[in-house]
Amino acid sequence: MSPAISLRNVIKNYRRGKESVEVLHGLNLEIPVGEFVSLMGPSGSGKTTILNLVGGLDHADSGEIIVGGEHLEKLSGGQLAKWRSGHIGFIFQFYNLMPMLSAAGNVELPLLLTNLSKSERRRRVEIALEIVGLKDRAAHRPGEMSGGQQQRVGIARAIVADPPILLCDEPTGDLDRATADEILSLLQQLNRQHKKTIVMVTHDPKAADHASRQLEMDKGKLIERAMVAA
Amino acid sequence: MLRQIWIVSALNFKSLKSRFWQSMVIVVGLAATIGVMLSMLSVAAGMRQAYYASGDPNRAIVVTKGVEQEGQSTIARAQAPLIAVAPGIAKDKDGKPLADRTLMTGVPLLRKDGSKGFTSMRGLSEKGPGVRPELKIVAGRMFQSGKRELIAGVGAQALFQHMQIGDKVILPDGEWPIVGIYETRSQLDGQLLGDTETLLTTLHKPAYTTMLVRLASPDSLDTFKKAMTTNPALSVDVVRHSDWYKRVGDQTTFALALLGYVVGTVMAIGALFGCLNTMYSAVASRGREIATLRALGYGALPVAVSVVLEAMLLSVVGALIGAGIAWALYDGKLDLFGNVVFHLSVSPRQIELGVTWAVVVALLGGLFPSIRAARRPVVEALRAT
Amino acid sequence: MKYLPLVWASIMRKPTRAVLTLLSVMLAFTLFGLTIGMNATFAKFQEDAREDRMFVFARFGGLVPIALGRQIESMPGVEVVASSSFVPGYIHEPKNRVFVQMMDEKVAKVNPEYPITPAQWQLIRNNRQGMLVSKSQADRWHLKAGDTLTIASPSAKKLDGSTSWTFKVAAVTPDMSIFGQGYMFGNYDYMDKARLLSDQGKTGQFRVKVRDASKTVEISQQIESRFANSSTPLQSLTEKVAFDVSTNTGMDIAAVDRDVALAGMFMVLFLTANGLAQAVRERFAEFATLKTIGFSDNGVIALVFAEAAIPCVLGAALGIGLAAIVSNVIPRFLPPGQGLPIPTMSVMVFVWAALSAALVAFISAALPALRLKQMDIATALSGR
Repeated sequence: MSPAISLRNVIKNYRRGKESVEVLHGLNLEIPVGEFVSLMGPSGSGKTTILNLVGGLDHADSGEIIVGGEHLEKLSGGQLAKWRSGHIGFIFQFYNLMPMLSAAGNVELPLLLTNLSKSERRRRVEIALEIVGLKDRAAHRPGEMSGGQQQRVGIARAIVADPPILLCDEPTGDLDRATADEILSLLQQLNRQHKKTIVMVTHDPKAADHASRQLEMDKGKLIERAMVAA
Repeated sequence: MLRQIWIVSALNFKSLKSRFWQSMVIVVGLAATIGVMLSMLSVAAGMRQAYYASGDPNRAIVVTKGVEQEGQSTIARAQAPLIAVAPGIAKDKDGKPLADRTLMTGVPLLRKDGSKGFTSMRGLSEKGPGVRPELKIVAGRMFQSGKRELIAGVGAQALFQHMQIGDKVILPDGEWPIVGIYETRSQLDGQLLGDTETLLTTLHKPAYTTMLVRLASPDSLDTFKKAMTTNPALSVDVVRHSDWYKRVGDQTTFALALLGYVVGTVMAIGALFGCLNTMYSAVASRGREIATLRALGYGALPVAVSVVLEAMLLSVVGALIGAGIAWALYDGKLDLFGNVVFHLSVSPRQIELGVTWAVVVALLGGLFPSIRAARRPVVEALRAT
Repeated sequence: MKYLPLVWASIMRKPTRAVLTLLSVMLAFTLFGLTIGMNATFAKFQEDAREDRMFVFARFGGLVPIALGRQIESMPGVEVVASSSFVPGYIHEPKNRVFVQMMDEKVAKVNPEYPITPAQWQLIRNNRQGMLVSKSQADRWHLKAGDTLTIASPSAKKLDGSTSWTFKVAAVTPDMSIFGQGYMFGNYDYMDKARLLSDQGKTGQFRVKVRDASKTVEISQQIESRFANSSTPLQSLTEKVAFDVSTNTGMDIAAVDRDVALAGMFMVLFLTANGLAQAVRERFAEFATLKTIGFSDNGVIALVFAEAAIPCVLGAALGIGLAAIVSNVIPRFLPPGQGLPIPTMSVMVFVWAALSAALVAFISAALPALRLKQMDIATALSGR
């Protein structure tokens, strides 16, 4: 089976004022379908960059980015947006919820881009909230929830359109230990039971341990850290 | 206390630059409001001034009893001498009473842009110039009594065609030449003047319109009035000339002024909402700064006052800009409304009015946000991003 | 629209700001409605003005002998000449000013468009002291058919020396736009026979109707030249010119109205543009998140335009509505004959308001939309 995510010879530069800094120097990475990969490394090592490239939020300067068989480097901004809505779910460190929408309203956002009817959208939102265990808080606003609950809403939003791939940027960075473990268990559940391919960027070694495969970025080079038995 | 207000306000103004565009909302709002209002009021104010200047407290006008407009008044020929001998009238150097038998009628003229317009044509009798010392001939000469001649006011000359010396005005018995140009600095400048008796004949009018007399002294009005109103042969009203024109001026400009104020009010309320918006925003963005000051010991009142002061500064600046534009564009410009020629007026009094409105808007627009700024719990504000 | 809840929630993020913006927009459009509505009224006057009619009156003021009217009627091309005079006066107190137009029986032929039935015209022909009062005037002075009304008119002296004129209200008739504050029509004969001998047989003005509208200007000049050397030279104004307010006053009021409306729009544009720019700035990360979910650049821009458009369009609708209410109420506070036309909320006013609202929304959203288009999602998200 072809890999879910494939990066070949990817070079990415960043402009800081007049200078150009090369962050990725011909990176190669293959992630098979159904894998839960963690990506660690110091700040500025390019791990968030990899996430953005895989999610189609940024363009590489050269190389190939193949996700789900699609060559992202060949797609325009508009095409990437369209592609993104069914194929990728993002989960952020600071949740990035809309404070003026309820939990259900937040989770519904990806579905607004589809042609589903109102009742169908509502049904899927309920399912997503049920999976993350927040069905009874559907009408609450983010301001009324704890950090852990907000992140669950974020996860529900990421899965509601049933994308095959989830990209997480420091998902537990803002949570205490116990809550972080809950979230990570949820991610594992999504990986094992719902077959989601997950790439998680994290600072926390304990969080990385929840993944089935651990990678580390060091000066633009990927190092396999450990393969944990699934 | 004052010192605290000063420091907090100074800090406030330093951070104003970062809130530049929001602050401009207040400035633009007030500039637009006051600019528009003063521009519109310049018409009413100018007209009113022209009317007021036409009246003189040393003169009295005699009109048909009950009449409110000069044009509706008639004084029969026979009544004129009765009026002229009354007590209270000033005498000229020959001992003759300064009483003018006047005629007022309309005359159609072509405006400079070719459209059909009209103005008033007045008759002055031989004592006319004596009764109206403000009448100055600035070009040519005065018309001669008994001759078919006219003089035109500077305002009429500016607005109508064929108002040069030598041009002819068509009256029923032919063409009357303009032999001079006059100036009175009043609403009279938009009109034409001729000899009463000659005009009466030409126009086949049987009676004078009004009598205008010069009072021996401003206090003689009562004497004169009593004589007129107790005379059974007469049925007239006597009004001090300045009072007459004050009333006419006020009445004529009422609707125009009202319009200006209505427009100004609506826009001011709109500007007020904009001001509220901006100040709420300003208070929010200064949240942490305010909270820090209060944590350091600055009182709530100086904070509140500084907010209102900011609103006031911005709105007064805006009002002055708007007033300045209105003044630059319109003040002093010659304009025409109906048959009244006048200069548009954006006076200091009106600019003061504009600034006052700005202050009121700022007070209202800054009040609620300032209360919010003063009341917000310090701890909450410190924590907020 | 399924995106409406999202847009609405975005607007209501700061409810105070949303409400204040809406109110400000509403007021600007109230002003817009009043001023452009007044222009609409002027335009209607011009439209209603018939090309085949003119007013003829004394060139140098005063009354015109009725006989001249018959002479004019006999001129070639003239269909009918009616005469009318004004009686300005007051009821009880000088501040209750009224304006009675005394018409002869030919007025109905010259002005068939007046909303007065032949039966109603006949009422004041039968009863010389009869008067037709328009509804707004009837409401103002609490009059109904059958009431007796005495009007004091110091400038219209009667034979017996008095200046009070008694009328009987024959009927209450519909208002017409050309008389914004209502009208009162009386019988010309009543006035003529009852006043001073020296004034009898004379009238204030003639209304002339010509057979061929293309000849109106020609005939008007002929009338003026025919009587130029007579004892009462005449001046004629075609109805089109007479109803042109800017020609009458010498002031281009329509331009003033437009400028005022524009100033209001400018003020509001500044406010909404600022508010929206700020809102977008504050929620940059949220817009970036929407892009990560899969909203396209244009989709996000469309949301911003919707966020601008809703208060503009809603405010415009409310504002024009308020203008309509105010227009109805103003006439009650003005003395009659002041000549201020009542603004009408015509279709054109609505159209212009809608266009202006759209333009204000568009310009307000332009800069923020551009910023969003150029946004680097990664930077925006990491800007937290």
